[in-house]
Amino acid sequence: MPSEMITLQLGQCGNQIGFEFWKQLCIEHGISPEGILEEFASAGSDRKDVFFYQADDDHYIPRAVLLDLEPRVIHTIMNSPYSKLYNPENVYLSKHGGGAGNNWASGFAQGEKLNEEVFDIINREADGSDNLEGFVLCHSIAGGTGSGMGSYILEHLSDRFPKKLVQTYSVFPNLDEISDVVVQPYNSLLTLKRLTESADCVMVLDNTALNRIASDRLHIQNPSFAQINTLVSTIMSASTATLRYPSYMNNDLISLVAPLIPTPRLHFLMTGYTPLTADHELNTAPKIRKTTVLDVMQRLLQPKNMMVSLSPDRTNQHCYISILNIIQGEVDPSQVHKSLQRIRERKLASFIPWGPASIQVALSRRSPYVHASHKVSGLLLANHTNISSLFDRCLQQYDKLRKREAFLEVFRKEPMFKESLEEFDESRSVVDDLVQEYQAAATPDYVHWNPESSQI
Amino acid sequence: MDVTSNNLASLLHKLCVSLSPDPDGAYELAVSYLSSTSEKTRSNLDEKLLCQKIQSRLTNISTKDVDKFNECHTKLKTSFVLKQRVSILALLLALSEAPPQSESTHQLFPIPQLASMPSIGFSGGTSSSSKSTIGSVSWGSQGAPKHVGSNQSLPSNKSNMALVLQTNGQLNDSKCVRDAVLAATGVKTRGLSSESRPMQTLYSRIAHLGFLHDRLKEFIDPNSGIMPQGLMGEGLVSSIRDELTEYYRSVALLQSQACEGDGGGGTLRRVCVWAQEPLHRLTWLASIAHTAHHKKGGELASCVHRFVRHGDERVATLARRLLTALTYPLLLMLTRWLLHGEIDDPYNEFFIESRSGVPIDRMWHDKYRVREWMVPSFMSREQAAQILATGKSVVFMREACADEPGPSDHAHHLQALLKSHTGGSSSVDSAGTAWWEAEGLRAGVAAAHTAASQRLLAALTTHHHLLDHLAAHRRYLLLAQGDFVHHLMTLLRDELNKPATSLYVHNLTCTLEAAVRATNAQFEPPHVLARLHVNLYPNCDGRDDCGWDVFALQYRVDGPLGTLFPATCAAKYRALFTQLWRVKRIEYGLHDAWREHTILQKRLKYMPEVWGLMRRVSCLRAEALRLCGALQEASCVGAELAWEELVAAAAERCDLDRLLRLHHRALDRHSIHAMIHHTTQELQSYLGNVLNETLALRSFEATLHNGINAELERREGIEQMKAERVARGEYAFTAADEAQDKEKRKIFHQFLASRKADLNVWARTYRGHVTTLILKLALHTEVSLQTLAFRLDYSDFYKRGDAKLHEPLTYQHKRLSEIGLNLAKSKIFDRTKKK
Repeated sequence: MPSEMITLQLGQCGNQIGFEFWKQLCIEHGISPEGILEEFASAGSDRKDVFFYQADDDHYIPRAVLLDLEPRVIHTIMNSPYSKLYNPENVYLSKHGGGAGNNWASGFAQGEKLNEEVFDIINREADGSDNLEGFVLCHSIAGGTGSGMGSYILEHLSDRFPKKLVQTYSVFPNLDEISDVVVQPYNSLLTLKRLTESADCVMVLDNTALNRIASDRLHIQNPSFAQINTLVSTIMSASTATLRYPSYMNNDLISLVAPLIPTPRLHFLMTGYTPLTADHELNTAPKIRKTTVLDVMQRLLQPKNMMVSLSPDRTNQHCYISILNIIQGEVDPSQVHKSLQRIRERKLASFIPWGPASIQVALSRRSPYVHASHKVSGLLLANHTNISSLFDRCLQQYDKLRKREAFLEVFRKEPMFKESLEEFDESRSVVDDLVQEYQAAATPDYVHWNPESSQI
Repeated sequence: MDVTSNNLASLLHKLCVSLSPDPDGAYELAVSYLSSTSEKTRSNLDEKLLCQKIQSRLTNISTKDVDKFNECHTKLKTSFVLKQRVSILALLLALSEAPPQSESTHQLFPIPQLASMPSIGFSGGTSSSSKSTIGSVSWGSQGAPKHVGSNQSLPSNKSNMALVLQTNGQLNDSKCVRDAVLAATGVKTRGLSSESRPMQTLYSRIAHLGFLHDRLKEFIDPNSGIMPQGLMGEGLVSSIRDELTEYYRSVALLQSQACEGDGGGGTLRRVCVWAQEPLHRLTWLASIAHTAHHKKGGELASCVHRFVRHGDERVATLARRLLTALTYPLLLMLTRWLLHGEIDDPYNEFFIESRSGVPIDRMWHDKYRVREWMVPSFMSREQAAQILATGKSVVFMREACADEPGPSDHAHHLQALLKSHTGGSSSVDSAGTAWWEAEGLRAGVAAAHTAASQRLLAALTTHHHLLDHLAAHRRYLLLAQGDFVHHLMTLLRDELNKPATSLYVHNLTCTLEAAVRATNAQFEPPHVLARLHVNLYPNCDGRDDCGWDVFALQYRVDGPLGTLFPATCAAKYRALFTQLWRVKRIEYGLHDAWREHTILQKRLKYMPEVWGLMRRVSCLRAEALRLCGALQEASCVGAELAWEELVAAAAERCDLDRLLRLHHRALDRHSIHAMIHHTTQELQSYLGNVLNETLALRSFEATLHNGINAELERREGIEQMKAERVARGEYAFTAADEAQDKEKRKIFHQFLASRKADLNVWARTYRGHVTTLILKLALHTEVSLQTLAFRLDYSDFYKRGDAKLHEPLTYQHKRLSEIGLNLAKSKIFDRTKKK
């Protein structure tokens, strides 16, 4: 099967969202937790082979590699009904088992140490596919394993598989509340550098926004990890829908992301999804909400449905670089045009001044095995210049810590930072450049923008 | 014409019942006469004997009549028209011997009843006898009834007249009456110059009957040349002949009464009163006959049908009777066509025509067609089309689908309709409505049509997998199976970059199979995959084509489905494939460039001089990519509704004609959105410009990436050399090296500068073309293309860049200006009104 994707799940967060993602995919493709095709499922309408492969005994096995430095989450997975789904050879737990202690440097160093074993697994998995399209990396940027080891793998994936795309689902930390991980700003910054330089497409999932959506939109008082992760898996499954249900367009990752990413560095995408329902809501009070294409497309443009929390755009200069809406459900194509017209009339979205831009709409099928509570649902993938505010906040928090030289000793323990803290400064400058470029992208002369001149 | 003996017997019996007071006796007599004359040896003798008998009988009455009889008899002998001459003579004799002939008519002719008699008497009382006359006469052929009629009634009437003349003192008046009655049958008499004017008026009114009678006789005379042709024409002729016979009867009765009765039995005025009804009748008959001159078949039926709607009920009844008689052959043809799909139409009267020399795959389209002018006016155009389609489906099932001609389910819808009319001897059923006006006709034909087309579609969908093939056309020729198309393109990319002449179909076929195996196409049923082929269509203009220009997928359909996908359709599909494949390929190329760029980007950290150029290229690439995306979105979504309708119709098993229409429409919608429709020729060339420029960008980028890669490798080489030299303890970088490096860098910078210039030129050309395209799209009459223009310039980017695109030409403005125009028009209209 061509255009296969290999999923790499790293660290506690990565494995958790990965677990939810596979659960969702199994349901959508009619695959039982053991990996056996359910009787009601039929071949031909969907492409299971993008994310699964079939073992000799006809079991569907995810093209997934599970990596962690501490056993807790992976043990949970291996004790769940889905334990038999995964290829046990693809589950790698550090023998040392101590984790990375929420330290990027530790994770990075362990990644380096384990690199042979890890890449053995990845190579084997890559060999098993006909025409590998790329990798999907699930991780968080704040912790130790996902960020540190993830960074290491990111850097080396592009060396080892230079022609493959690397897409990441990166969970950004919740900046609203004080984290128990004090070095979180350091970790984030260092990971951001790798995401900027080594990844081809980053789906930004912002814990701040996810929590806000869970409490505001779904009315969950204290959202659990599982509930948040369901949100993420919804996004992940919807954004891969066009790959799994082939139609005229957007049937491979590159055709999905290439129109969204005009220049290679502007590859941080925001997502939005509507309508969202939580499980408990379904049981208690099934709200009948109107879902027309216009409703869905309008709601997708509202900041409160965005999975990224951006600082309010005071200058009002920020704009969309590109938008792709993946609409699923019973859609009358003529409605799409009407909605686009309405959105333009109401000026709900402003676009870059230096090139043509529009809301692309991909109509995708839904899984026939999942009962949809809404007629139409939509996913938004957008490249927006205001995402720079997120990075800007990361920079500010980093600067606050760095000014006080706080908590640096844990990094100095690792060989990478023994000599100097140059890596921090370099990362800071890379992320700062990124912020500058995103800001420049909101101006008409972005095409002629020169980072050197702006730095001076 | 063989009438079964039973039938004959019953007819004879009827005749006797109506003519004689002692029906059984007369019947026995007639039967004995008829059967005895069948012995040939005695026939000559018998004839002589009979003639003698008749002569002797006639001499009792008048010698003139004997002469007349002899004359008639010799004519009869020489004419050979009447084969059963002897028996007929015998019958006539026997009947004349039966005394109470006058009795049966006596009751019909009291004077006060004269005015109302014919309308009731004709259609009611005497109808059975008239029928039986026809029945008995019909074993002779055309000339016979005249002969017999004159033999039977006229001479005897004349003899009666003579009696009247003798007994009645008023010689002049009686003569006048006699003349008038004779004139009524078209016998030429001398004018009544001596009579008074009122008498003349009355006389001429009666004589008009004679004129009409002659007209009708001319009409039914095969030698006159105006007799309508064909079976239906014959139907009309025979029923007019019936009417005439009826008329003769009436005249005969009149004659016998008018001349026999005393006390004012036969004044001219009375005859004139009597003549009102026949006059009315003959007038309309003549007028129907007049319109029917030289017509045949359905046309004839239509022109008689006009009279059915006549306000006068008598005319309508008359026309209805005629129409029923004349459409009987049509009913037979119709039945045969509907049930068996056969046309038996020696005189080309049926409204469906079959053409020879049509190949089987064009059978549905060309073999049969409706002769518009032959569709009888009691049948609507839709009905005719339904009848055509029903018969065609039957033929199609038999010929193309090779289906067993078992009892088809549409037959039972027709049975109720057809059987009641074809079965019985009477063509008017008990309810009094003929088949052509029966209420069930419309519903029955419609139901039969639905049943037949459902059966056909059922055969097509089950045995011939119609739905699969429809879906396959869409998936493979219109690129809806995205994963397959993408993979095929990946596999074929290198091969198709070669010149067209070095390509071989069998190599490409292997690639196609590989692509099928690897994608969801593998789940297609074998009858679909077996039809998917690769083909190369070299251009004729001798250009040096590359593989991309000539490659096409082909889906071969044969058998009955060839009808739904005829050659013209295949050509359309090919054109669509070429266009869609081209856009897809360009998009694919741009994706490739995007990938190369992202890979390259990671190595460009230390080459800031290319950043600007690379950013510019990649922004322009994004622009082109967006356009490709919008084009594809439009072309796949645009025809979506039409396709859904088609598939739904096929699943519902609608009739084949509807499917053909929907299929055609779906293809049209596709063509319009792909801008290869005949209405979008102008757009096609503008789109071609844009696509060519996009291809140029792709090759431009390839050059640029190669140049940068080469430079990168050179620099890496230098770094490596430096490291090696340092390791060897030499100077890392000599002055010569530095000079060389400087030179190389200069060349590289020149390369970049010229690329930059190229890019600027390209960008200007490209945007110019895109602007023109958007402009033309916005001005196109097709609304969906206007929406494409709207989507191509969603953020008003091109509008800002080009004054041409400003207000007056955008979609909204166009609409507004149309409204404005209408307003202005209405104002002018108002003003002219006021004036």
